[in-house]
Amino acid sequence: MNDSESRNPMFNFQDCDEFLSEEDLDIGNLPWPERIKAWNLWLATMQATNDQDKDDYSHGVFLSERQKRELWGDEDDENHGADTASPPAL
Amino acid sequence: MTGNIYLDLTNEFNAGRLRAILSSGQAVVVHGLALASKDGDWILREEAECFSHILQVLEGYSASYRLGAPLDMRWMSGGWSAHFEFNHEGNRIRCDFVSRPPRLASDDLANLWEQQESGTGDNFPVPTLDLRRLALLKATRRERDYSFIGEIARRLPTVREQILWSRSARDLASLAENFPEEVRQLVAQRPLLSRIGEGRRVLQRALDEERYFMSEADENRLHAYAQAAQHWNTAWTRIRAEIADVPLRQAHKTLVQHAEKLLPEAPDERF
Repeated sequence: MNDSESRNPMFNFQDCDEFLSEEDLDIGNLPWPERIKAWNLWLATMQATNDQDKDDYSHGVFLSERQKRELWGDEDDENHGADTASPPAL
Repeated sequence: MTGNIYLDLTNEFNAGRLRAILSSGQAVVVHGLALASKDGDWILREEAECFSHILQVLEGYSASYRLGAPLDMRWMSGGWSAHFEFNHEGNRIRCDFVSRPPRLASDDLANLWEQQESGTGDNFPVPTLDLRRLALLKATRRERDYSFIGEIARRLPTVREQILWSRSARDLASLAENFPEEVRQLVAQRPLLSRIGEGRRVLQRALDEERYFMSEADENRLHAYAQAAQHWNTAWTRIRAEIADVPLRQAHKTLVQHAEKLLPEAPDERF
């Protein structure tokens, strides 16, 4: 294995930009039984935000109307009438 | 049973053969980076048997379709995503699936399945997306995802991958000092590397600009799908009412029938 393929000791670099907090990264220090407990507790606690994100998508290619407005304003509503093809009837 | 719904689902999805790789937000947890997402995401092997098995598992949880594409080869191969939801022990559980994850080249996707099948890589409790491909998937429209990429980059197994994915001007300067030849070789692949010698402020601006372009590319991709799904979106309320009280696999057949008329199989197609 050459140097390019070896692991760089980046974690020892003293003056680092912080991307995730120590609290975030602490999850990786937990043994699996404790990590699962913390994971489940977090999921249960975060249920309190379900009403806020009930229509949202975190991944994939679909977005809620709110997410679309945040990204593109009302352009989809403005352009909708310009689509000359009528949708097939159900 | 592992005690965690997303790990358990992954195991059920993979009963008998490898069909599903845990991805995105819950993969971040498995990699020990953060608790960051309520939803489960999986990359599915693009085979009809796999999709059928997933639907069977989800039906056992009384899952229902959310607005999304049918979990069917025709749409999944076009890069669409399928979305489900159910309640489990008081928690809202969401399951999101793709078989053509964004930004993964087809040969890289094929290699992913080969590597997962051969069991090479990390020793995790369930098949989980590796860090490099996780970084690719995190290159989204969302600013916060780039923080994950920044941390992931530090953990990538090779110097070359760290150089290609680092989000830190300080880290890049250190990498350039220690591995100048590797940085030189990778400039063509990542042009901002040529600016490392111009100081941290210049490099950080270049990183911000790079992130803007990646974010914009993801927005443009999503816009194409949003345009293609207009008729589908409009009809969804009626479709959902039609499938609301039927078992998932039956709902799926109804969904497919409607999608054949209303949802192009790829975003660049039109009826």
